[in-house]
Amino acid sequence: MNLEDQGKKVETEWYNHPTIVTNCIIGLIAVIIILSQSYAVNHHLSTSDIFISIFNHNSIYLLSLVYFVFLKFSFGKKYFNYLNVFLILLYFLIMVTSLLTVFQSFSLTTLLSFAIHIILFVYLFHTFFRGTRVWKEFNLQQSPFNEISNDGYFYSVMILSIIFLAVNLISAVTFDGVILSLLDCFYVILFSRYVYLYRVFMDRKEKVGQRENLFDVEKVVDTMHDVGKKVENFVEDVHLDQAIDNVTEMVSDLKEEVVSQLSKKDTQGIKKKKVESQKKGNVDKKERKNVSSKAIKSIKKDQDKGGE
Amino acid sequence: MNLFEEIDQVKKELPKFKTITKKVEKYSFNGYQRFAIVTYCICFCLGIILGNLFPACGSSSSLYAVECMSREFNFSLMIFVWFISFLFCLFFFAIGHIILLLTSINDKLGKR
Repeated sequence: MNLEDQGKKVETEWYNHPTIVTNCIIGLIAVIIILSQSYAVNHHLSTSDIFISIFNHNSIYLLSLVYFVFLKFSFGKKYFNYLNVFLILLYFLIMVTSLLTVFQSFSLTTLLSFAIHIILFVYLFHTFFRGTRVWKEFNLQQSPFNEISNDGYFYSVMILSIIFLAVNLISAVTFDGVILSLLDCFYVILFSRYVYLYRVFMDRKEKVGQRENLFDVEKVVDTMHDVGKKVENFVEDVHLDQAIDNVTEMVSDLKEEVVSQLSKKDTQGIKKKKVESQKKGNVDKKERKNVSSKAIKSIKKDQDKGGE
Repeated sequence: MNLFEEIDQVKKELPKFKTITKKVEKYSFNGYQRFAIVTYCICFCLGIILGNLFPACGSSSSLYAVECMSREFNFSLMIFVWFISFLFCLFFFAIGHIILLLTSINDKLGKR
């Protein structure tokens, strides 16, 4: 029954086809409601018994019927997430009432009923909220109940419902009760199968999404590889390596020329500076001589004037 | 096409929890609306109490027998009380909403 291994053969069996399963559930609910009412009339039950017991037994089926009938219409498909919230709330209430029933009349049937309903509620919560904002906002991926596999949930519900059926059949007094107990068991198994198929669909959708993401990365790697090959081909075609070598040689030659010219300019500059400095020095010497001769002359004049 | 594939193409996303809380926080309740909310809370608890007080037959196998094997919480009675109280409180909530609208219209006309 492992759907993930079967691949495309999933939709051939009736219990693996969601449409057939939902149709079976709708049909089964209709049969349960009609049979329970007809049995009540046959057994000449009072109106109070019908309203209290039969209606109580059928109320859950009526509300589930509303859910599955809405799924057949475009309105229900559009507001599928809202319908799931309604279903989860319904099964939460059923879980709470079954817990209260355990306190009211403690027995194996009430305990089994509570166990089935609590597992169904947790299963619904962790299946129908997948891929929705509630899953992301409340980080339901980190929930410990998320680690239980889909098969684990389904088979636990199935086994518990079969045990519950066995206990009911042991305590059955009338043939009508036997039929109703069997139909109740079939409904629980079909309902859990519907939830199982939805989770399989969501898991498959997540895997496909992951594969698409991986494919994008691979695509990027392939394109980079292609670009690299194209560059290599271009380099080979255009002999770019030779051109690069030529350019480098030219650059080195230019460099040498520039360096040599710079060095020449420097030497010329130094020589000029030397000549200029020499000239300056000669000029300075001449100036000094003139100044000193003038000074000597002035001193001599002063001396002559003083002698006179 | 698979039923779930059809649904996946068409389905609408749930609203964000923050948007719902923001809308509720912005809304101001008047006396009638508060009365309706308080009454519904009381009827909610009353539904749970009545469901416990009038239990129904729990086991399907003994549903048509003379004596019922096990009694369970009356889920249908609780839902029935909740539904009736919801309709009753909705009526008062609507009256309060109409009064709120009328007062806002009166205020706007008074400002002009």
